[in-house]
Amino acid sequence: MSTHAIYRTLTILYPKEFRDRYGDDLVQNHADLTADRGPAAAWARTGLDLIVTIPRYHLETIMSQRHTTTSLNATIALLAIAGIAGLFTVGYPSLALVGMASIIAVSQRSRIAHAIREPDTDRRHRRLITAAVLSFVSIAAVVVALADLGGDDHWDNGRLIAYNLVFIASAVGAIASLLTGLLTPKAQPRQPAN
Amino acid sequence: MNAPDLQSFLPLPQTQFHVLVALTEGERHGYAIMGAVEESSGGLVKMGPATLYGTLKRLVDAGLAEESDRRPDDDDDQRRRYYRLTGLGQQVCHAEADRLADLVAITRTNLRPGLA
Repeated sequence: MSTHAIYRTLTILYPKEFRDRYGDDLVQNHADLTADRGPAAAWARTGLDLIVTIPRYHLETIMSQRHTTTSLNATIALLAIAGIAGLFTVGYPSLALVGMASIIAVSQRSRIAHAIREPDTDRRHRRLITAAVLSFVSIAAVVVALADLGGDDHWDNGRLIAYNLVFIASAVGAIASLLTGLLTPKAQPRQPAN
Repeated sequence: MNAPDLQSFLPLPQTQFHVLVALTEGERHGYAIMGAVEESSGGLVKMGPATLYGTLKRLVDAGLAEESDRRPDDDDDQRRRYYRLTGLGQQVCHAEADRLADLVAITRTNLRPGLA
């Protein structure tokens, strides 16, 4: 494997957005450095550069607006799922988690709404397909649970909780995906230039 | 549309200012910018490829630099992307240079020989 091929492979470690935009330029730059100063000097500079910038750019990507919204949505969904699932184990106190999810969702509603209402036909399709898949999973969880536990006189608590967790997680996910999918506007087709 | 407040860009991070200064001489591609930064800093600032393109990304996203469609040298590799300062980039570069000049003036005044 050539030195450029190794460097090109290592650029896979950068966030996709940065790699798509500058991947070829990075490799070209490494090739220029190698041609001008030799492989050792080129790797001395680019190696340190890789170590410093890969975690930094990932952190920046995570902290960006879009990813913050994704993390926010994931937090709300996890709290809601944990709260509802907790009803079967710790009882009503777990509803406090659902309350927390609701408070976060209400306080951050403008950010969530902005992310949902951005016109994007592909994202709308992905969300609706996700809703369909999760609906199927939740129904399948009920069917499998009934087939597995229906004949028993005493249901096994561990399996019951597991089936409930799968059902609740997929049902909450399906409802959230369906709502966000339906609320995501389709992108307007581009008008041909005259 | 309101003009952006130049002060909101200051102080510029060192790498961004070095890249802007490198672009004051005209359009340059990435590797040429890297060489210019190294030369103008007397070899003290050695940027790696990802640091350079990360800096260029920030400058382009902030509207201080932009990609150029023109290729200054017809013999050069047409795949290379060239960058140039925008009008805003020139103003910010001036403002940062003035800020640093003021700082240098204060330092020189305070540390005049005989006052220490």
